[in-house]
Amino acid sequence: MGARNRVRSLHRKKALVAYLIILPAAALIIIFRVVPVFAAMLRSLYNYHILKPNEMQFNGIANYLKVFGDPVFFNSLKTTFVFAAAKVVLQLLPAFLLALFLQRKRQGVGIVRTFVLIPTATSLVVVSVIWGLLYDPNNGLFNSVLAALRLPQLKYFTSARQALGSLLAMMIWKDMGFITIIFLSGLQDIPATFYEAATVDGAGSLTKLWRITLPLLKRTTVFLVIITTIWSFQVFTPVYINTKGGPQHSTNVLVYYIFERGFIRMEMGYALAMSVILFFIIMVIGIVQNRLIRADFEY
Amino acid sequence: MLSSYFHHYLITKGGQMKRILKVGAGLLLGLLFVAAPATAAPLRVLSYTTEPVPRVQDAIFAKFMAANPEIKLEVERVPFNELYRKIAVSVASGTSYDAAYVDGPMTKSYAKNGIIIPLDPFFTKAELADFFPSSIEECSADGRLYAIPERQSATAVLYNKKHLANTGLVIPERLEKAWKMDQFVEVLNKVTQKDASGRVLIWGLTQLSKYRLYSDYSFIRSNGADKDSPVFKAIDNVNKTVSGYLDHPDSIAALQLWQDLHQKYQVLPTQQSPDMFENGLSVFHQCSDITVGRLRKDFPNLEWGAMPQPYFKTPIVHTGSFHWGIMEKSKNQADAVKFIRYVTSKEALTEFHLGVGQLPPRKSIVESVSSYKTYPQKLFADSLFQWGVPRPGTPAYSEYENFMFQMLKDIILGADVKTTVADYVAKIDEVLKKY
Repeated sequence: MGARNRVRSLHRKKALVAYLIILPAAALIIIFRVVPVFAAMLRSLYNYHILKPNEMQFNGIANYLKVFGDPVFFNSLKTTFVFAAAKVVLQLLPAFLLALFLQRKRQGVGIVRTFVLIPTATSLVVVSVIWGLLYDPNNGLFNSVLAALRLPQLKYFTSARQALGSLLAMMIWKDMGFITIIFLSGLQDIPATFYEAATVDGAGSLTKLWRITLPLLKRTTVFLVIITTIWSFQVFTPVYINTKGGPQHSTNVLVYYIFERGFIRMEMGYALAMSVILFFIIMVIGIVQNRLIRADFEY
Repeated sequence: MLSSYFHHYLITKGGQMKRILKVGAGLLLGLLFVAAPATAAPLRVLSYTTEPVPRVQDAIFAKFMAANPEIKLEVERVPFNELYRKIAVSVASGTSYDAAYVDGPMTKSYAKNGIIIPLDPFFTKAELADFFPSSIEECSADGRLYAIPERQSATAVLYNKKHLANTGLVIPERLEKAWKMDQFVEVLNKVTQKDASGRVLIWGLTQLSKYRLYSDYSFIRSNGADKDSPVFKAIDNVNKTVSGYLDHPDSIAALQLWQDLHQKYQVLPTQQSPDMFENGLSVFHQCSDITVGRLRKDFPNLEWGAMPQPYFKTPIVHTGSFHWGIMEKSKNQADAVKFIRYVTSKEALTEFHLGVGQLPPRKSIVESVSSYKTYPQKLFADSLFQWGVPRPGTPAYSEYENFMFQMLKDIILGADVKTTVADYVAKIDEVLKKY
């Protein structure tokens, strides 16, 4: 009995140590992540004017009903989905090809790798401001290059048709380094013996790519698809700095619309209801990720 | 490593754990007491970051603290565009400032929402008599005074003398000689320089800010037949609507011309880079008088002159600048009053004006500064006193200004004027009726 109690006591102490070690991080996550989520959910049930926090009025699910009758919300949701879908498609393929290039040990790869990573390490605010100047239809570098090449000039952020595409191009450039590096680490995780065996069996480069590389990169690819989608749903900074959701609502993505309702129109309860809906949209994406990411095989 | 250390410690000296925890907790409490401030809380002040304001303000604040050693200022500064949001968040989170910079048109909104307190109990009528009535009007809501002016502003149009050297144009230097819009459009078409492909090399007119009530919308309001016309008034605060005002045929006509100047004639850029006029990329430049000080200091070689702002039917320039207000949630309102009395005194505002170069809100300072008696700065002062009108005032200014920004931007970038205006009239009316 005495020995069993001692073992139990030891286990308790071990657990206590473990809890003590994770306590600071857990406390920060709870205070700054979990509590605000629940506070937002609670306050989304109130008519809450940001300048009158003491005059909140409970109005049940009225904010949620209002969201479902708000055409601008659905337009913003559509814009966000289009942005996310286009970003996933147009981001991942070039990043994968770049990773394949960087994987090879040849001269100059280190320099290219550094250049690819620079945008990732740069502040998004700085990137947004610089690209805003590059995109200037009158004095920007991009149109100067097009003019020098005698190509038609573009309007970028000043055109309702081109603004979302311009935003997309900027964000693809910004995230290219991170996505490439993740692909690269996935490629480097594939054991060389698979390729050696395939070579012995007479497989060519394309066969190896199709039969070995792509199947074994499935988990990495699914992770990147999901993370790119989630980030795309959260895009805000370049919209705030460059377009303010315009022109003609063409870049009015969901997070910017939430910001506008909360901090400009001061309808914080309504903004929080939209935030909760966005939270559930992203959560569903997370659940899908958990299902898809299950590996078909181990190596 | 840390884990194994704790593990070892618990196994070997587990009995002492409680004691150690008690000692730790005691030390933590002790530290909290030591860290607690022994002196009175500082006076929290919110201002903005655009130079030279911080530099000049800091010198004035230092003198205030020297004169009031019992008060310590804790100054926080944010960019101009973040000022309103910073105040809103501080109110919502219960971390309110004591005194804050209040942008003129926001005064009514803050007053209506109980964010700032009335200041008339702290200032006598005799003390306020030195301030220009337009400044006092901007600081007032429902007949009460809610802020004290730090400065004023009015717009005029600067021009690049070199670009106009061989045009033979006679530029007006007095308000009575100001150009009408049709004359100005003709001149803009003449002076804008394009290459063979139609690409603009030097623009006719740039502005201190784009798509804004303060800059763009003053031109539109001037298409009102007189000061009582719907277009000039811009907003019906009794019935809380812009219907019949913003979508009045005269307003639509002016907005259409404003779009044409950007899209059809291409004499105004749809997007501006910083310092275009300063670098010779435009002929005319609409700006407030703060630009004059900047040009003299940073661009001494630029040869420029100033002319009154052109108008359609009724001359108008938008006025308004920053004021000081005291937050309702301040726990230190007595010291905040002392602070505001000091920084808006004649001495402090004279120092501020000499350092920043913007129009002062006190008559006695304007009368004592010689530069306002001669061209070109006299033009800004005359514009303020004779043509100056505040931006349309409403407790829903934040929402109104945002919708007007979006509407002006969409129109300038080529959206159909009538349908765009109709869309925004409905949106603005919805927010006006909230108050």
